[in-house]
Amino acid sequence: MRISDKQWVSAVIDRIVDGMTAVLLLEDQEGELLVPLEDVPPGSVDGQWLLLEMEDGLVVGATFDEQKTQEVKERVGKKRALLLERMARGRRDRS
Amino acid sequence: MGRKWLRHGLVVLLLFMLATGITLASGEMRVYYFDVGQAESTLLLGPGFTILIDAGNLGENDVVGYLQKLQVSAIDLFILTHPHADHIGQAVAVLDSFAVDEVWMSGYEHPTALFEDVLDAILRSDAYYYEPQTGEKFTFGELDLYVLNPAEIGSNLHASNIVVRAVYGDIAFLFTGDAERRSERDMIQQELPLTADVLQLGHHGSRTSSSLEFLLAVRPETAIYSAGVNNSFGHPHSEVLNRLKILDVPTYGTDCNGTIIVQTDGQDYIVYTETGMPLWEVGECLAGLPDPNRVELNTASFTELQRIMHIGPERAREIIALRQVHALRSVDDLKWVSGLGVQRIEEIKEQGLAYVKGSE
Repeated sequence: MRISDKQWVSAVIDRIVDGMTAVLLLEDQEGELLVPLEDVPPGSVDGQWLLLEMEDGLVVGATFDEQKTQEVKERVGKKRALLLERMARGRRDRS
Repeated sequence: MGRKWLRHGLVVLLLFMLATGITLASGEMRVYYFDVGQAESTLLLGPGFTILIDAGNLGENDVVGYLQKLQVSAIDLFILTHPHADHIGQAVAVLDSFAVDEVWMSGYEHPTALFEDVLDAILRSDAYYYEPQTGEKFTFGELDLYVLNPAEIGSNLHASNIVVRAVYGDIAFLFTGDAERRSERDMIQQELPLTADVLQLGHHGSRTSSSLEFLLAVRPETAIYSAGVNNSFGHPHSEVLNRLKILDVPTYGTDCNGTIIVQTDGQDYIVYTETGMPLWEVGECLAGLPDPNRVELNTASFTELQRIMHIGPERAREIIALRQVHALRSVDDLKWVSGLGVQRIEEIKEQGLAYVKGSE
């Protein structure tokens, strides 16, 4: 997808494919961006939120968004904890 | 060996009888390797079990469509091998559209908005939730399911990928998700039962998976991968296909064949395509394996693209942005890149380095 004009966009690294390409999910989940690993900050890993500086559909700058990463991590952790409670209530006997 | 080729040779004869109907004969099981582009979703359908492994890509709606077409109304088990968007992309739609009895996930907490949405969808469903571990065995109807990975829950995204071996009668299927070489090595070292008649190649046929030692341990008769046509990652990689060729394993891909179906009565199996189209082995259908000495415009990295004359960092970025919108059909499509006119494109052609897979 292309985003016109210069703007800041929030995105998360969904995955790094074959150690070469970062697949970024845009915050609004309206699409994904594939960018060379060189275009995301060094040390980037799956699940890291970024603020992308976009110009005419291209990533021209990116910085870590540690606060956003932490916020989503905490929410995801709480929701999985609720599922683990469901798991602990006993499973159907499949064994 | 003769029996194997007979099995695949029967396809042409049988597909006309089979492709028309979706009703399973008594005692038969089918595995549908859905064509979901550069993503993965597989349905196991048989006596007493409906199991969906992964849910295609974000931004698409093909998985629910396939399930509706097959008149699936309820899912006994929904396995999400790992939380990447090309595997959980439509999990919310599946959970909201079908009665799902049980969901398995790896336990890895992936901090994406999509993954959070999937957790919400499971929470609002009535589905039971479980995080399976290596060594566990389950029975769904007449299908035995062995968990081969993860050995440890949740610690690492890649290592926690769920791998299952499904056994129906004498026929075994292995589903590896995106398990990489490290997980493959762990499974071998734990001396787990890895042999399978049909292997779903890990990570869309990427070189990150399907090591020679793993293929020798699995000893597949048939290999199947899921990948999109002209995908941006060059999947399946030539190293993997070459290994399978050396091992004489017929290999099929959703990019070549569309949805692939394996049907078994528990004693033997056949492979055919959903559409009734001829079943193509990958070596026959791809227009040629990627040439390591050349630069494939739809899959080359930022650095590789700059090996082509007239292409520096800026134009390499433009090409990558361009192919996100639409795969290049030929070298001539470079005309959409700034500053590349007829003259320069001719010079690029004369250089002979750039090409588009399938266009020559």
